Amino acid sequence: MKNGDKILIISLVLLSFIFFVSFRLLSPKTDQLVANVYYQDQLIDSINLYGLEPNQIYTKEYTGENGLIYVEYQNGMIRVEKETSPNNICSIQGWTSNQFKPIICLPNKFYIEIQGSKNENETDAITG
Amino acid sequence: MVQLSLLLSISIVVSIAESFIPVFVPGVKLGLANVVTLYILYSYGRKEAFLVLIIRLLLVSILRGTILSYPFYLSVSGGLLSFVMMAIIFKSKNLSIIGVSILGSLFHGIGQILMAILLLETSTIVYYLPIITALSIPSGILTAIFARKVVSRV
Repeated sequence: MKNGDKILIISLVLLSFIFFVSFRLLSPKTDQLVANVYYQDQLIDSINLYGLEPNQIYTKEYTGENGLIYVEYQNGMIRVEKETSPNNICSIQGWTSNQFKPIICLPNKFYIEIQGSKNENETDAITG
Repeated sequence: MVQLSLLLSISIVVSIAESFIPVFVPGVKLGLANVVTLYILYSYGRKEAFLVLIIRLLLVSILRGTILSYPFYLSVSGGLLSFVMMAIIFKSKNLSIIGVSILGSLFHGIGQILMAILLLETSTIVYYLPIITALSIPSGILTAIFARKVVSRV
């Protein structure tokens, strides 16, 4: 391991940290989350994730490139529940409640983006 | 030439085999086929590595049935950008194969993010940048460890 390697690793660690922090800081904070659903780059739906009945899960269906996409949402969160794609890459992403974790389903040319983010600290992703 | 075609087939098999390993973050993969690319880069040179890479990308996507669709463009953009950076930097005295591999892994991710932004016409995908940057370190180190063992034995 040469010096250059160590410098590279340290700078990348710093860089990812900087990205993480600056993305968080640059977003407007609001509790009124809205999920925008896109198919083939067109906005096809906009779902209000606030003001819903607590503990009530709603479902919606969309048609993607490979078939039907089942979306579930509740107060403050949304996810793709089931869809047709290799490795189920869309539903494996789980629930998202902020704009830093869009649900991107390339095989179906489908993605869900949230506008605004809640004023909470939460982990971005857990790996390993 | 025979060796290169053998290496090509190894990289194709590795590439397809690792696609069965599930990942928790979309767009992230172990990049084990890069071990072959690194090996060819260090043992043969830029041209050979580029050739094998391009043919591998084409053949893998034909075999998987993804040619000329989103996954194909993503893997090509990631692979090419990663290769360009590695080819430029691999002769540097300050970086060992580990650094080159990490850089390759990083730019593979960046190339894919840029292409995904282009394809979906949204900049939301840039939010994946932090995790992709962070994950490029371990995946780069992993491929470098394998590649180093092979390069040293030849």
